Amino acid sequence: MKEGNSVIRIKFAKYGMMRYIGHLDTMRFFQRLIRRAGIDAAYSEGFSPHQIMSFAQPLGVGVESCGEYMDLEVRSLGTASDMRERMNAECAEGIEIREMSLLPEKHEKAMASVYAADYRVVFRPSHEPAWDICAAVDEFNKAPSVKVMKKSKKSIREVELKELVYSLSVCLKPIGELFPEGPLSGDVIEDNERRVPLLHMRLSASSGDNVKPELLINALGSLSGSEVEEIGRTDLFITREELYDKEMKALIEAGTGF
Amino acid sequence: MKKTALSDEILLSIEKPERYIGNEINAVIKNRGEVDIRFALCFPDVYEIGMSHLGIQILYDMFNKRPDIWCERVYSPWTDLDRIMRDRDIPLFALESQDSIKEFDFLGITLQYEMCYTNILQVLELSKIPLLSCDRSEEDPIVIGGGPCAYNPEPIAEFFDLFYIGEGETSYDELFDLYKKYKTGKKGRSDFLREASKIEGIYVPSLYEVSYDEKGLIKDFSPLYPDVPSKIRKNIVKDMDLVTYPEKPLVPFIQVTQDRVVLEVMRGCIRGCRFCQAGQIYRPVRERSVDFLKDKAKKMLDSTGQDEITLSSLSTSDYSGLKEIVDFLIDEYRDKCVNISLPSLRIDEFSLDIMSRVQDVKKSSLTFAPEAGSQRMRNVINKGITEENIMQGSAEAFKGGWNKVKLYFMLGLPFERDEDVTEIAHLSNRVAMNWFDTIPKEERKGQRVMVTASASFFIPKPFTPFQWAPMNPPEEFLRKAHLVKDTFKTELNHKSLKFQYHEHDLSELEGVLARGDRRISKVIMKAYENGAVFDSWQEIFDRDKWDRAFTECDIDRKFYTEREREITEIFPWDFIDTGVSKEFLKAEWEKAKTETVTPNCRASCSGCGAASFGTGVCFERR
Repeated sequence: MKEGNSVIRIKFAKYGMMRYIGHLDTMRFFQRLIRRAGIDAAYSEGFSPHQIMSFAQPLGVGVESCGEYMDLEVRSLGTASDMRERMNAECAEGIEIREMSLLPEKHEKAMASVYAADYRVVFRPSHEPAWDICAAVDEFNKAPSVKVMKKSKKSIREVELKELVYSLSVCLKPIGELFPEGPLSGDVIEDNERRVPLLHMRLSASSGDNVKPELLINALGSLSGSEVEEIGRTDLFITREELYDKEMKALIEAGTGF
Repeated sequence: MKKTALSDEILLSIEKPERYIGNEINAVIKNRGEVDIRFALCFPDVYEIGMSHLGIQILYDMFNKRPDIWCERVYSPWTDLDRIMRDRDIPLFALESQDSIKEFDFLGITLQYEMCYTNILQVLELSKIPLLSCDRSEEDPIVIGGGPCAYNPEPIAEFFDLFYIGEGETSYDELFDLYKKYKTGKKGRSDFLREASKIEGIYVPSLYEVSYDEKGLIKDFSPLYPDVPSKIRKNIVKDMDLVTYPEKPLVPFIQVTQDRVVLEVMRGCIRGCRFCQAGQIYRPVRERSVDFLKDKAKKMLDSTGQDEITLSSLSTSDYSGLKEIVDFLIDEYRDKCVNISLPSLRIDEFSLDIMSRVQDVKKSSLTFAPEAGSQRMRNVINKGITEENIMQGSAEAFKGGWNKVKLYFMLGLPFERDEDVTEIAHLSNRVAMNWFDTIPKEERKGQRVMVTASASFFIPKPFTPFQWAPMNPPEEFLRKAHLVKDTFKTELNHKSLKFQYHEHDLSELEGVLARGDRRISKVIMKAYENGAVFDSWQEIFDRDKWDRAFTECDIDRKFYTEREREITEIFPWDFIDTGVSKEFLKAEWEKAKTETVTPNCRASCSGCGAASFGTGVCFERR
């Protein structure tokens, strides 16, 4: 890092239409946003200089979040509230800067420090499975071991889910409350009062052992016994709520206010 | 949450859902109830291509400046979504409001290349608008076309209610004001079209009749009513500093073809290459002032956050304020790491100096467009460069550190002989040799020059001196391409040379569509019914669908491509007045036969007729 420069950590939300924007395009969006907002970003050397920024973890297309993170190197600092306001004024609907903190000179990159993530998961109307979700959650929490096959780009291997799921809970809520802005495009809610499961989970999010909510949901399905249909990404409405480091501290806490 | 026309499930199942959700930075959102006119602006190709087009950005900005209009965008749904929309009966929608196109007052379609014609039918059909103008009712939007292909609108005349001939900045207000009168009054669509035909630059095809003689040539083309003009004169902007230009262009989420801010420095071209349609139809050359450009550059970069700006025109080297604007951009934006891109520069010392200041010499390759291999042929086409220019330019480039050179050529030009064709390989070889002569051995450091020559097939276009020329048959194109290829193998420096050529299937069809008449519309319709769409995409284009269409309609494509036209023939596009006279084009056609060069507009005026617009280079002090 060049002398005099600082690195700030930015926490942002991504929702609504913006959940269709893929990871690379989100990065491009931020590069232009930072220019529009007049943030004094630092640039790499060379013939095609670029902003020195890195994201904590890609968010899947279709998933909403109120706990995304990126680190940005800047040449000069204003106050966090001024920078946040300037960025929010230039945002598209569906991206919102929530918090900023100033990282100490020696710090771990957001990407390296991600250890766990909180998710809120609901089934989309008329995509709920036939099996009893509450019972399956109970069973999971009581079981000493739940082994599943986990696919990655390169391999497929067996993992112990109990080691990678830090917490899991479920409650029943009127479906109207779970979609306060109305259902997703194409979905219909017939009875707002019907009570449906709302799941909260804290899952491993480290680069080697990232667990997606779908993996756990399907493991719950298998626990319920009978042959069940696989639940896909589009059956769920997922919100990532927060990212944590190894000490289970939210990533924003690695820095200080400014 | 804002509703999308497509369900969440569909959006997550298709390629690049960002193409269909709108919501981009600088997109304009208005209240439906507060506007009188809803305009859907369409580029009939995929989003990434359509979003790269400057004309759409200009019109979008200009229309939306009127408080009584909400202008939105629509592009061709890619093949994956096309299938889903047909299967589930989902109507095509505009990006901003996500409302059906059918609800709009206007559907404006830009016509940038002939190979998009089947996509026009795709957009109409998915919008549930009847394909033929004569089948539309009061409930359907007015379908309007504009852009370079509107200079021969006849092959697609039956699909459009009206065409706008010329530059969009001039007559739309008049058209909209007229439309509002009709929308609130009792009169209908046909009355509106009749009145609109009297506005300068507006062509209403249904108000004209064509008759043909026994050979199939046009006998007569005339309006059906005495109050409908028989000639349509193109609209042009008189003063480029006084018209509106976007200050807040749209910023797409996904990477598009032209992913940068575009600064149009001038319109038109002084060069007068005889094969080039743009060089004729955009006459006369009109420049923007450097002050105007500085102001717009700053506003566009600030409002978009883009990290690249391009100086756009048909021939940016000929812009008289080039050095001043480039120096300004470098001084002002170097610190902010904004790239400057300079397409269409002639290669000379001055351009090379600029390019070496704005780009990484080691990575970039230089492009020359000699267009023809022999000097004789370059004189025929009036490409105002000599072999000496090419050798000097490339020597300068080699000294400046470039060692990758691209050369663009055309095959099948009028009056071409085999020795002109093989000269493409010889010239490429001489450019490579030039590197060895210019760069001493000790400075080569293991590098070697690479010259890539690429050839496209010449297609005669309306309103050019070559509009009378027969096009080469596909077999002849191939024979010539193979001849060049074989000659390349015999060149001394063949290890430093590469040669590639374009597909000839598309060229032949483009040739038919470019100089076609009204009878071609049924072929386009048939081809579309056979499944043709996205014909400009090599990987999708299916020649068979078109072959069947020509057979089914009993139309001989060679009538349109290979036939040599008599100098007296009435062309389907003759009713349009571009300012450049047919007499001038004829004289240029004759000069081509005698390999005689015509000087550029700045060197001396050749009296093409464009001075009648009373502006531009015609009135510059020489």
